[in-house]
Amino acid sequence: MSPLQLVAVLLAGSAVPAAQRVGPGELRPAFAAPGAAAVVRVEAFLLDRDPVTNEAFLAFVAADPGWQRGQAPRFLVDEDYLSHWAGPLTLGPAAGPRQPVTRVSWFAARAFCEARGARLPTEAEWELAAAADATRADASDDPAFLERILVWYGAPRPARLPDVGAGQANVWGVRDLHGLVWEWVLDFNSVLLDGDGRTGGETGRGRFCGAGALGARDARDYATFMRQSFRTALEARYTVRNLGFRCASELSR
Amino acid sequence: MSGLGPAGRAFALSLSLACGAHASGPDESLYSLKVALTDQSGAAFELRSLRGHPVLIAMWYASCATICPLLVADLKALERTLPPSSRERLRVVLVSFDPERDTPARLAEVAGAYQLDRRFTLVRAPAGDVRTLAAVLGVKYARQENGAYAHTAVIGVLDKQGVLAARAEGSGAETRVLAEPLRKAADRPAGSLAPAARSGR
Repeated sequence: MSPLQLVAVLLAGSAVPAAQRVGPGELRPAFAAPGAAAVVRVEAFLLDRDPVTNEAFLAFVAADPGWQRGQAPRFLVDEDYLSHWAGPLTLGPAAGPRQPVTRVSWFAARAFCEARGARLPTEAEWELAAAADATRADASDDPAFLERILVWYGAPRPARLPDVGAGQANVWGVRDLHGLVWEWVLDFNSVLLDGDGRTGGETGRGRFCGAGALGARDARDYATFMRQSFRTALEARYTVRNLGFRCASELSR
Repeated sequence: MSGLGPAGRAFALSLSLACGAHASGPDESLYSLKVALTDQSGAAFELRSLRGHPVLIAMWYASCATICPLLVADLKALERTLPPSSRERLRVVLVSFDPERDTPARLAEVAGAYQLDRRFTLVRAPAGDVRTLAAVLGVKYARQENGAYAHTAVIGVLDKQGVLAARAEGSGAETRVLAEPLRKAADRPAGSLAPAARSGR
């Protein structure tokens, strides 16, 4: 990449991205421990319209060398961290500037958001936003909606990850919550599922303090179950080929 | 970098790149983490004050009635696997999930109840730092409606440089696997293992 191209990418990557107001709303958690609320109220918040892009992440690591590939320690990022980039400060042909950045750990994603004065969305916030389709704030009871998500989960990986923003915006104006990449949430490690937790039952009481049984509200919502399973399998330092993120912030900034 | 517009930031960044970003090898020590811990005496506690000591680190909270007493038993059992000459050097850090209720006074009270000596430091931290430490140690936790915390039981072993040498999940027999890494951490000299050669990249 020529210096001029690099400056162009850094300029684009440093721009503050569009954010959409989401909520307030009520979330009915797919999994509820006994005594847990059947309905969770989510206050209104700002959510990035699109996932964070390669060019935005490049601007971040250029400004904070401690997060560059090769500099970030192994207890914060695994060995595949940004491995698809041509270099620590070079995107290269396998990482288009407008593609969602992937192969970033939770620590790196959180550091990116915090550098912007933002944060990762909580799971409840993300799920509230993701329950919406183009016309309804809560499409999660619509089997066709759930089916579309499952079709994406089951589809073979595309040869090339699309650029952000190609998908239709949901009713909040947020794009690509489904159909592009999986996304980190702030409290991904709050999901305590032991084995196949869909139908409840004992959850390894010897390992979980106070958890009891976690049962699925609706066993037909397999899409949410898949996301929960994915989250519970993650460790904060993991980087995954199709796992990216976007940032959230409070309404009053 | 604040105060500059996007163009200004990009210009500043490209300048720093042209001059060559300073390079240092990755620091694998948990003591590089920026977390604000307060101990049971109410004083700020710096993780790096543990440098030079083998460390057991775990997360819990004072009101925890089931797993947590077992956790203390496991920590004491691991301490006893060390040769007597090494036990004095051991440090144990217990991080609370519950900064609201686990005030320094409460932590001091619990330390007394469990008869934990001065090698044990009980700390609380702001919610964000609790999230950081849980993420580093691979602890899952969730605050429940009634204020209790559901959480996994995890013990980590830090070597004298603060690098996470081993971790175990569960309780009782499942934590015995830490005896060997703990002994190794206690045996190894405290002199710093220099990071990979620092080159002017």
